[in-house]
Amino acid sequence: MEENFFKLLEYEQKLEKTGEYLSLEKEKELLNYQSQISDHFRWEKKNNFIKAMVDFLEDRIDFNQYIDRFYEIDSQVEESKEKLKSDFEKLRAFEPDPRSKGFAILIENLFSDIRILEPDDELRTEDEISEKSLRDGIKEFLLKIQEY
Amino acid sequence: MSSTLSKVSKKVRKDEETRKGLDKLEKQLKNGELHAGRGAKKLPGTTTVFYMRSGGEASFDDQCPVSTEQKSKEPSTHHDDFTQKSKKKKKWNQHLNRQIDVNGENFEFERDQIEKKAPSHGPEFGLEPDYGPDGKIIRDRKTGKPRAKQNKENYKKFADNLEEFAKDPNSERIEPQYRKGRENEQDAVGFLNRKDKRFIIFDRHTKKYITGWVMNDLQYQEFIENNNII
Repeated sequence: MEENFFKLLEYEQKLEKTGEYLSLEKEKELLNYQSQISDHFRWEKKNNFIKAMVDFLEDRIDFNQYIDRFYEIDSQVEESKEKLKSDFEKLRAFEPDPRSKGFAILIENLFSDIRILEPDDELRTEDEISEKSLRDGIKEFLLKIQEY
Repeated sequence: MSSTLSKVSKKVRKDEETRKGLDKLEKQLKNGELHAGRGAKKLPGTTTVFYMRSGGEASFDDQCPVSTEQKSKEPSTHHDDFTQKSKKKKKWNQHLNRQIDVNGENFEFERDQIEKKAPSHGPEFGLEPDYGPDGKIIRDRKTGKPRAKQNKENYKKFADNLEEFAKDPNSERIEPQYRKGRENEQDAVGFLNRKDKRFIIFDRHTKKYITGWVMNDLQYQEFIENNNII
């Protein structure tokens, strides 16, 4: 990772002690570095995510199994991220794969759909979606994800 | 007001819609049109009052006398009386809705929405997580986060804590889009604590509570860059 990432992290921690925040500009910079890490590790699991999506679309698994699989894959992603962040030397040497740029937010959109899924027509509220909509969302994002 | 259902509290009877509903219910009971349903038990000492435990094998929909097999052959609107459980519940819960004023702006927490969101997002707003028999925290399947118990105390505490959060001087007013470009996109207005990334949002037009949680870095970046909450 670039030296600037570590400087920003250090600066943020310093500000936290006094109850202050980073400026919006610096916050964006820091978030950009952090999303590079998420992009890289989620992208590494691209095929696992795709497999879960396709298995669900082709009715090999139900929506509960799809949800569980998604969280299982992402917990592996989180583990890898934590492992990297806990090893300063590895983090310094880490270079995200440029092909992964923008990948993590696609998966995040699918998690957003999962969060508001309400399969029961009678219980569904305005801010929730049906299983059909969940499937439509997966179809939409599957094409984008397969492009990576 | 019906005699059979006269032991309903004065507060409930004041509501015209509820009164009509109770009268209709009495008529249906007299005509034998209602069936208590699977899992219902007769209340001792009565002939027409049944009860059932919530969250168990019985549900309101169980009262429908049409078999599941028969239902599947019929259009989804087969019996309005039995397919409107969320709407009916909404009416019963109306008196528990809560209006709040934040710097001269009014917002509303509808009880139904509070009950819906408390289990999955409650622990992020001060509710105790629920533990399984193995002593481990129960996680919400759809958020992957700790889940809170569904009970009246938690619903009240959740609404209290959301109100407190909205009124907290550390919560900044925001006007984001909720799920921009996706199904059920909504114009939102809400409050965000930049330090811990917690937020709550309301519909910008109706001012009714939608949802809120602690954003992760990706969600926060999406908000900062595109004013979008996903």
